[in-house]
Order: sequence, then C-alpha cells, then structure tokens
Amino acid sequence: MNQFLQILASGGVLGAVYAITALGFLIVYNATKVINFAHGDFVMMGGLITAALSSAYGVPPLAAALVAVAVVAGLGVSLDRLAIQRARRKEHLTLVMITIGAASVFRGLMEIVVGRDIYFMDPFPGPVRITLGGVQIPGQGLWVLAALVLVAAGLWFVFRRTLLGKAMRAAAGNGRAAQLYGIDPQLMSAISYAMSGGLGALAGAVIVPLASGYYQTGLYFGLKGFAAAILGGLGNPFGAVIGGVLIGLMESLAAGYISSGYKDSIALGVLLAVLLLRPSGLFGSSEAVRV
Amino acid sequence: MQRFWINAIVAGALFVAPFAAEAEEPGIKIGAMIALSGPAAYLGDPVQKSLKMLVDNYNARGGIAGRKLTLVTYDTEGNTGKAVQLFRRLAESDRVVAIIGPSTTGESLALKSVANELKVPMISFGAGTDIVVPPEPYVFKVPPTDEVEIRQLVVDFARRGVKKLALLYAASPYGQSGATLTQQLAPSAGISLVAQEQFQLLDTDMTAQIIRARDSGADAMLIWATDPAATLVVKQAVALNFTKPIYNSPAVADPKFITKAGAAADGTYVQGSRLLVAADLPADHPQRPGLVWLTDTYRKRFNEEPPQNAGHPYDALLLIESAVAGTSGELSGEIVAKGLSKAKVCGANGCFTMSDKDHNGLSPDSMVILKAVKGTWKLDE
Repeated sequence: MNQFLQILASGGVLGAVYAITALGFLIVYNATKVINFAHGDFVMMGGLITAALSSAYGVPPLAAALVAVAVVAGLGVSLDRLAIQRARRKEHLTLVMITIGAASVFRGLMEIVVGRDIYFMDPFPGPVRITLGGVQIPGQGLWVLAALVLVAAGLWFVFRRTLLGKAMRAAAGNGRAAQLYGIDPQLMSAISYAMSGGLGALAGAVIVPLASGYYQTGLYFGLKGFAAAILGGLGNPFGAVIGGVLIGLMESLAAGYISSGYKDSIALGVLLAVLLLRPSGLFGSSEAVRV
Repeated sequence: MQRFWINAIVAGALFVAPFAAEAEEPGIKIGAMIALSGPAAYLGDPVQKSLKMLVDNYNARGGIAGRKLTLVTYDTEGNTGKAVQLFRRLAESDRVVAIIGPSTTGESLALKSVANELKVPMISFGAGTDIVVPPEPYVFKVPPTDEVEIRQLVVDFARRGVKKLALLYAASPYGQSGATLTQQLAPSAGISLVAQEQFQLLDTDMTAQIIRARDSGADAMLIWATDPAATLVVKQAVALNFTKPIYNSPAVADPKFITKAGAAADGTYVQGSRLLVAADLPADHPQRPGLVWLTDTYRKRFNEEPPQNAGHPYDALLLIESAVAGTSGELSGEIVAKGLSKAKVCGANGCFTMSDKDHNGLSPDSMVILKAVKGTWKLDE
C-alpha cells in the first residue's frame, strides 16, 4: 500500500508540472487559437537556464528561477512580435508551422548559449523531504504543488476579476470589436505570449531540481502539456489541470507497475481512448460552428 | 605570353612542393570519433580535450615514433547511424590508419563489422564486453570490459559481506550488458539478486524502482547506467531513504559526479581506474608516473579535474605508438592493426597485454573501488 501511495505522490508532482505547462499553453490558445508547438521549449528553457545559473554560476535557486522566467517571458514576446505578428498570412496552419520553426530556434539558441551539458542543481530552499504516513515527498515536490496552486489561483483572478483579463478575453473573442473599444489586440497577444512563456518557464524551473536541465527535452514537455490540455478539453483551464494531473498519475503508475519503457505509450494510449469516447476531452464543450 | 609563363611556373612549383616536404618518415593520420553533443556529450568532452592535449604534446616531441601526428575529429552525437557514416568518411575519404573512439558501447557494436570491412583498426572507448568478445582483427578496446569490471565488483561485494544485491540498470546497451553479466556472475560468489529494476536513460522519476529495491532487503545497491539517469538514481535513492551502500558504475567515475549529485553522493562508492587517485598511489606503482603527469597536465591546461575517461586517449595513443614503433615507410590500417594486437604498455586504465585472443588486454586488478569522501574520490581499501 505504501508503495502505491508513494507512486501516486510522485505521479502527482509530475502531473502538477504537466498541469502548469498545459495552463501556459492554453493562454496562447485561448487568446489566439494558435497551437504553440514551441511551448515545450519554454519549459525546457526555464529548467535549463535555472539549472545552469544555479550550478555553473552559483546563483541562488529562487533567483535563478526568477531570471529564467523573465528571460523566457521575453523570448515568448519576441516569438510573437518577430514571428507570429509578422506572418504575412495569418492562417492557423502557417502560424503553427512558425511555432514549430521557433521550437528549433530556441533549442539551437540554448545549445549555443548555455551548452550541451546536462545540468543538475540543488532543490529550492526548504525541507529536504517530508514524510506523510510512510510516504516520502521531496521538499521540491511541495514547491511544485505550491506553484500549481498559485498559478491556477492567479490565472483565475487575472482573467475573471481584472480589467486586463477582460480585455484579453475580449480581444480573443472578437479582435475587431475589441479594437473599437480601445483594446489593442496586438498588445493583448504579446501579453498572452509573455504570460505563456513565463508559466512554461515556471513549470520547467520547479521540476528541474528533481530532474535535470538539458537542451533537448522541449519536445517531451511539449507533448505532455499538449496531451494534458487535450485530455481536459482544449480551451478549458480546469480541464487542463485535471488532465495534467491524470497524465502524471498514469505515467507514474505505468512506470511503477508495468514498465518504465512503456509509460509514455500507456499514458498517451489512455488519452487516445478518452478521445475516442469523448472527442472534446473530459471537460470540453462541443463547439457548433456556423458555416 | 607572359600569362602562360606565370601559370607554368606556379603549376610547376605546386607540383614540386609536396615532394620537397617529404624528407623524413611519412606522418601518421589518425581519426577520432567522439560524442561531442547529445546525451553522451559529458563522456566525449574530456576525451576530446585530453586527446588534443596529447597530440600537441607528441608533436612537440617529434611525433609518435618519429612520425608527425595528424588528427581528424568528428562528432558522432552518440548516434549509431552517424557513427557508421563518419567511420566510412574517416577510412575512405580522410584515409586515416587508425580510429580512436567511439565513446559508447552502442556505437562500438555497430562499427565492428565496418572496421573489419574497411580494414582500419578501431580503438573503442565503450565498455561492453561484446565489443571485443569474440575478438575481431580490427576492433580493440581501451576501458576494461564490463566483464572484468563486474568480476572485480562481485569479488569485492563478497569480501564486504554483501549477500543480497539490488541491481538498478538503464535500458541502454551499456546498462543491459552490465545487468546480464551481473546476473551471470553474482551467484557464483554467493550473492543473490533480490531486486532487478530497469529504467530509461532519460527518465526523470525512478521512485517505483527505488522503493522496490529498498523494500527487497538488499544489503547494497548497484547502479549500472550513464548520466543523466545515474545521477538521478543516486539523488532519489537518498531522498527515498535508501540507507545501504550504493555502488556506482565506472561510467560516472568522474569528480564532476560528486558535484552533480550533491550531498547524495557522499559515502557512495564507484569502481574506477587509478587515474582518479593518481597522487595517492605508492611511489613504485608502474602506472604512477604516467598518471601523475597526465592529471597534472590536464588540470593545468583546462583548469578542471580530469575524469576517468580522460585517460582513454592516453592509452589509445600509447597503444598506437607501440604498434608503429620500428616500422618505416607508409602506414596502413593492416600494419597498425597487427602492431596493436601485440602491444604491451602501462597506461591510465592499467597495464595492457594485447594478444590475438584478447583485444582489451586488461585484468581485474586494473580497477579499484573508490569512495566519495568529503567531495573527492578516495581509494577504499
């Protein structure tokens, strides 16, 4: 039983990371309907920059994480301003292709600027581990869960209770109409990418002390975040969180009880099964589009 | 008219120049295939640094056995397909007479038949026993075979009273090779494997495997993997309260490992060569002078502690030197290969005695067990 709970605990921590990733991914999707395939690389960069600053330059872990979040938020804005906004044709397919290209650019940038080494770092300040009923939870795991709670609460507050959030939702709903009300859709787009980049980096930064920073992990994180968002119903933040946690739990259970080689296929296989039964995801609403 | 004569003189000069340079022994051109990027890059980087340092050193002293040494290096990225491509390029277009590398077991296994086909000897830095068993005419290996390594480990475990062993290994050629050997050799020393857990090299969470190892009642844990998994298993095992001795594989016999794994590494053991404890060797040990020179020179030039595999290029070049000593005229892969299978040198990994039946040439006493004490590896008696 102990083993089962331990596996659930570590799956939960992993799931929280996927949930934060999926939430960041959704910000851009909800604002622009663009699927940002470079989002996984935001997570990778957040983790890599934090780990590199901390282990190679001795920067304290929290400060390194803040720097990483700021840098990646800036890179997110640059993706928007320099690539997405400048695309001559704003069709979805074109913009998605641009994000795929951007993913390669970010990977190459990290390879050159930070390097090809695998970086490990010490956990964030706090208890090394806590023991709850025989289950060991690493201190860093608590940071991950705290980050998820803060992010979820923060996003809810921004989007539901502030004028900025309202403006972003307006610009996403109908850009032209929002413009007539004095909202600048391009500024809203840039802000969405900045938030998305920052959240992705946060997800990467909180998990990297438990794993490692390496420039090639972007695709891996992107896939999991995307799967989590889809499982929960694309566009639904509550679904994104549940989807992320579920995927993390399934992976951990598969690795623990079947084989760690199959954990990805099992988790994604379950995703496929859910989609076959409920195409709009667990909490998504089916959309009727007028043609 | 003037144009014609200028062209003729230049053409004539170019034609004559190469012959003018060929006054002494023809040089020796060697290829190097190293994983400089990708997950195995941490293995390749010190090898490249050490190799460059050694080549410069040889050439400053007149070359290898009197021949100027030219080195052509390629990055295999730790990728098997690329390794095969690059081997062909080195043999057919760069026309090297020997190839140092590659860095991993997986790549080395793929290259065995290519080396024999193209008749260019390969001096591999991979660990897998299958690389040189059965011996192939053009395939040689510098690090001890994992069979030699595990044999020594098993003897050491028995000596320390370990009766039940938990084995955690990576699902890579290196990990699986080590695991199979441990399964074969442990029972004969009276050690039973009470847990055998596998993980992928790029996994970030080994909780399930470690808990099963912890709950199996094992007296010790043996981890057979390369990074990043190797470091993560140690960190997570300590975090999950695994209190028995932990033994790391030679793949992480590196001062940096202690930095990477942090406090979790303290008190763990690693099997390695004497390079990491060169300064602690007795004055009359045959490997001491070479190792002390190597580690001091590396440290001064690159400002970091050399890891164990910085010794591999040292051994490879010593072997090549022994192979071409006494030859004259143009070299070929065949000549070098013949010389290599008779080489007897004392290098960083141990004292080699190559023969037609043994293309690794090392014995179990070439390895030692080291313990991480206060941030450095120390000989553990």
